[in-house]
Amino acid sequence: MKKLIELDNLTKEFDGQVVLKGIHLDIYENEFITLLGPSGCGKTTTLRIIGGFEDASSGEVLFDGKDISSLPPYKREVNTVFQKYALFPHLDVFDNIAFGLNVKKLKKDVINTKVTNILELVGLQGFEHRKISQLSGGQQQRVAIARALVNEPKVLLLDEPLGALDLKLRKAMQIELKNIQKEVGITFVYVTHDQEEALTMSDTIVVMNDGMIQQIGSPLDIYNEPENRFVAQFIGESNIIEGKFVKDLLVEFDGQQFVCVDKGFDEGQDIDIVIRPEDLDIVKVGQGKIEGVVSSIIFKGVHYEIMVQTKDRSYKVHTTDLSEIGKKVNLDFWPEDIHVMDKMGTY
Amino acid sequence: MKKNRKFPKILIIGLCLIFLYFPLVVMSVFSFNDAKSLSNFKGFSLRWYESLFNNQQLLQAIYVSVTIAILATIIATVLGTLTAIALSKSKRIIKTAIIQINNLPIMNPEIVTAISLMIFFSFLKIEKGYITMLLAHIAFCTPYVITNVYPKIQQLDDNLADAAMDLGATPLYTLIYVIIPQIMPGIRAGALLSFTMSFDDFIISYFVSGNGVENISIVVYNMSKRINPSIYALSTIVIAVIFVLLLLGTFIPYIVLKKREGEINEKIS
Repeated sequence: MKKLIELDNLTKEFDGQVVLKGIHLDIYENEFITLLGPSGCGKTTTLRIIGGFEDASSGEVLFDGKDISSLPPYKREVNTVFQKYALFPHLDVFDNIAFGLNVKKLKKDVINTKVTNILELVGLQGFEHRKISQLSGGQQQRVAIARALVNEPKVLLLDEPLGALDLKLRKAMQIELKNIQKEVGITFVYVTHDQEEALTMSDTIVVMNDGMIQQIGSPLDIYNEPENRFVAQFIGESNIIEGKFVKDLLVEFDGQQFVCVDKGFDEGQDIDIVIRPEDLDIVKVGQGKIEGVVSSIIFKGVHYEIMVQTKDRSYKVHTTDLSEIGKKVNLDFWPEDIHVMDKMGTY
Repeated sequence: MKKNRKFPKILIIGLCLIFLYFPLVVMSVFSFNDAKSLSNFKGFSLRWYESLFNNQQLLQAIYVSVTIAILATIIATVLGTLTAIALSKSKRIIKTAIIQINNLPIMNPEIVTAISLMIFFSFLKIEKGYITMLLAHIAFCTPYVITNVYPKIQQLDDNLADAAMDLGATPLYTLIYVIIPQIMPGIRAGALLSFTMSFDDFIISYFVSGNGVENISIVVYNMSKRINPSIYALSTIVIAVIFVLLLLGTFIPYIVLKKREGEINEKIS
C-alpha cells in the first residue's frame, strides 16, 4: 500500500498548554484509520492539523511526499465531516452538496449528475430540495458525508461524526460508513472516543492519550496485545495485575508462577499483566489456578459480571454461567490469556 | 360577554392610533389646502406641491438628504459588518472594549456628538459641506450596524467557515456565499436603521454642514419660522414614500416565501 499522509514529529501548543507532544503517524491509501482516545487527548487537534484548520507549532504534514504544512484548507486534497455537521442552513440539501462543485465552477449538468449519484450512495434520493432544518440528525449526517465525498477527495477526515446520534442509529451508520469507505475506496481518518466504534470500523487504530500516541495497530492487535496499562484499560475491560517477568514464557504474580506465551522482556523486570474478564473461567475449588470467593454478581444482558475476591485483589470475570455470592471458587485461564506489558505510570 | 371584553381593547388601540396618526393626517390634508391658513380648509389644490417643485432650495435639500442617506448607509453597513466579523475573531479583552466604546455614541446625547464632530472638522481644517456631513453620518450610523450584526455573528457555528474552506472556498468566497447570507437579517436591520437615522438627522447635520449644503431637516427648520405649506407637501410626500416602502417591506418577503413554497410543492409533486 502507498503511503499517503505522513505526520512527522507534530507538536501543538495553545497558550502555553502543550496538546500534542510529537506525533509520528503514517496513513496509507484506502485505509480506515481511527484516532481513538479520551477527550483532550489531542485526536481532534491532529485531525484539524491534517485538514489545515490549525497550524502545528512544529513538525511537518506530508501529503504524497510533499510538505503541505503551510497550505490553507482550501488548497488541500482532503475533505472533512465535522462533529456537528456544519451544514449551511441557508442552502437546501442539493446546494449544500453542490457547494464544493460550484466553487470549482463545474458545469451544471456535471454537478447534477454528481450530486444525484452521491445522494444515491448515502440513500437520500428525493431529498434534493429539503431544507437542512427539515432533516433528522441521521439525514443531516448523510448530507455532511455526501457534501464531503462528492468532491472525490483522496482522504476523508471525520471528526466524531456519529456522536450526536442515538445508539441504534449510530450502530447502523457505523456499518454504512464502513461500506461507503469500501465502495469509494479512499482513505478515511476517523476520530472517536468510542472504543467499540473504533474496533468495529477500523483497519488501523491509533490509541492516543495526553498528546502522545500510545499504540498503533489493527483492532485485533490493540485488543489482544495492548502495549501498556492505558491501552489495556481504555480498550475493553481488563484485570491489570502487577507482576514480575521471571524468564521467557514464565511470569510471577499473586505469589505464584504462571506459564505464558510472551518472550523478550528482561528477566526479573517489573511488568503489568492484563487478563481480559472474558478469558477468566470460574471453576470448582481445586480445579483452577487461583483461589477466591464470589463477592458480587451483576447481570449485564449477554453475560454476568462476577467479582471474585482473592487474597491479593479482586478479579472481574465475564461469564454466562451463574454463580452465587459467598461461594468459594477457583479462577482458571490459559497461558495465552496472560498479556504482558511494559510497566509505565499508573492511570 | 365576549363582545364586552373586546370593546375596551379596540377603544384603547383606536385611541393610540388616533393619537399617533391624527397629526399626520391633519398635516397631509392641509398640504392640499388652497389657502395658507392652518385652521380653515379653503378647498382642494395642488399649489403647494407646485411651489415645492419650483423651490430650488428644497429640491437641492432632497437631493442632499437622499444621496447622503444612501451613501452613508452603504459605507456604514460595509464598515460595520466587517468590523463585527473582525471583532468575533478578536481576543476577549479587545472584544469587550470595542463593544463598550461602540455603545458610547449610541447613548451619547446627539448634541454632544454634533459639537464634537464640528470641532473635530474645524481642528483638521476640513471645509464644512457635503463631505463633512457624509463623514458625520457614516460615523453615527456605523455603531448601529455593529450592534445589529455582531449578535448574528456570535450565533454562527464556528465550523461553518471551516466547512466552506474545506470544500475549496477561498476566504472571500466564504465571506460572500456563507457568512453574509447567514448574518443577512442583522445587516438588513443595521442598514435600515442607518438609513432612517441618516435621513431624518437634524442636529448633527446642522452643526457639521456649511457652505449652503442643507438637507431636508435643515431646510424645514429654517422654513418653520414662517408658515409655508410647501413643508406640509414635502412632509406628506416623505410619509407617502415611507408608507409605500413599509408596505413593500412587509409584503414582498411574504409573497416571495409563498412563491418559493409553491415552487417546492410543485417540484415535490
